[in-house]
Amino acid sequence: MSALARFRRSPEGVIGLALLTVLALAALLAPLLFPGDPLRIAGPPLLTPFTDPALPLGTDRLGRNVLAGLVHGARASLIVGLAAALVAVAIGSLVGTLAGFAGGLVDEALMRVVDAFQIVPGFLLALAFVSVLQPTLPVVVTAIALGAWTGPARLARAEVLSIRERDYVAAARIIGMHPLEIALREILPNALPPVLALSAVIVAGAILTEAALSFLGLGDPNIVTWGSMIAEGRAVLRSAPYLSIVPGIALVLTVIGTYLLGEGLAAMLSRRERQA
Amino acid sequence: MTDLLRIEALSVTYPRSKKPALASVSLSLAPGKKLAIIGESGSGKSTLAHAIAGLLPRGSSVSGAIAWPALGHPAIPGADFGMVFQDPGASLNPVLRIGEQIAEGAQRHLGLDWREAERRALELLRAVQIPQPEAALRAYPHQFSGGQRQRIAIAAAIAAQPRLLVADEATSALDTLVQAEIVSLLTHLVESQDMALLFVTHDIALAARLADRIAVMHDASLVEIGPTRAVIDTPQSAYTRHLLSTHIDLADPPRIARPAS
Repeated sequence: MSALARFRRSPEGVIGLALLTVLALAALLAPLLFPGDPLRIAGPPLLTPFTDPALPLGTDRLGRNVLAGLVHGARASLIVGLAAALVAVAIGSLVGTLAGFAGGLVDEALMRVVDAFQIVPGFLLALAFVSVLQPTLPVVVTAIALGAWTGPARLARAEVLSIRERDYVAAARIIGMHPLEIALREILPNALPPVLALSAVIVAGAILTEAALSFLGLGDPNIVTWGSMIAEGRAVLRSAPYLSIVPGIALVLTVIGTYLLGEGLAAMLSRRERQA
Repeated sequence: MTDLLRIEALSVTYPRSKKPALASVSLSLAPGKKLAIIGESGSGKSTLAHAIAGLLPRGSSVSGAIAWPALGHPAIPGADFGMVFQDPGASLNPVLRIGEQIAEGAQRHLGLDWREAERRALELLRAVQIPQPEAALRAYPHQFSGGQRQRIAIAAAIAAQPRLLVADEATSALDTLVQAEIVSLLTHLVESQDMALLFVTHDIALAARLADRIAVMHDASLVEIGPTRAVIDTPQSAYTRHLLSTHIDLADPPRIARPAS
């Protein structure tokens, strides 16, 4: 059975993929669906949802279209989530592979750096990083990745420790490969499956961290994000709770979708492992 | 004739171990000859193979000398010797295609470009009798049986035309029929390409069928070395006699009692 067929047979994976596909489409088509600045005034303020067909999810305190904000906000959430997870997994698996493969002093040094990052709460680290620098998109991504790369690093190292004793690594050494080449070409790809399964959790965590940062007003002020929309609605939480609930639901669906997709991927990869 | 490999008083002690894994072992191997090293588990036979291949763990203390007189320079791994391992499930990288893994050595040591190396890999797959070699080039290790994987590992080990092939228990994990096929393949390859073979095994019958000379190891030392017939027919050491007497042959009376009908 091919990996794709195995993935299709896991219901979690399919549901997660469907949710994320809808979300990704919304994010990609945002400029077409709702052209122009989503932060501009589109109607009367505090319009309740489902009353005006032109503004199906109503408007916020300043009369901005909530649906437009939601769709545009999907871009920020997805971009930040994916980019932060990508950076975290790339740095983490690279550091973990080098530490596990080199062993000795290099391993000790790298893992103590990992410890140093791990003992600081990830959110606090991101908060400090963003408040010191300007809250632009790359800074937010870096800030989130800073707190998330240690998990992949530990996981990759543990995998590499077992893989480096296998015969094919000895075989690669025998044909005269450079150690760095062995680490990156022979070992890293084999250490990746569990790290990739973890990466879904990292994406979900990154999306939530981004929302929390924007909620605290530390996101990029020039783009709409779900976190900033929730923060915006907080002031009128009693009179117009939908302003916080709607982006909240979007956030929940995104995180659930990411987790489910991760489950599906993990099932697919673990079955492949057993078969091999 | 100049020896291909000469080992003099080689001793190896693994890190965090007091007892040597190899105690002052000396032997030599002429080009194109087949030497079998036999012994029980823990006798040091695999340590010897690893020492020759330079695969001892870091921190091992090594004394003595490993020389390659026929080469005139220290052996280059891959180019001057290749190695086949015990577990065919672990000696191929599961995420790389077969063709890539075989072509790697050829490209690295024979100065071939990638396309030539791939052609050489195809040749090698034919030489080790893998069915449908063109398709096998693009397949992954899990698509093959244990015996086929061992053939592929052999192809990868000899890709750069080494002068010596080290087989470390290369047939121990296979069933007897596949074992016989691999042994005849090894014999054929070694004889047709003028390679020397160092065959590590615990199976004295296999060693007797395959090798020109047999070295018997026991408790980290070499107890006996000589031409195969001499070692089998007139063993000099008590340990070799003991090994021979414990060997079970198909000609032996059955040890599993059959129920009387």
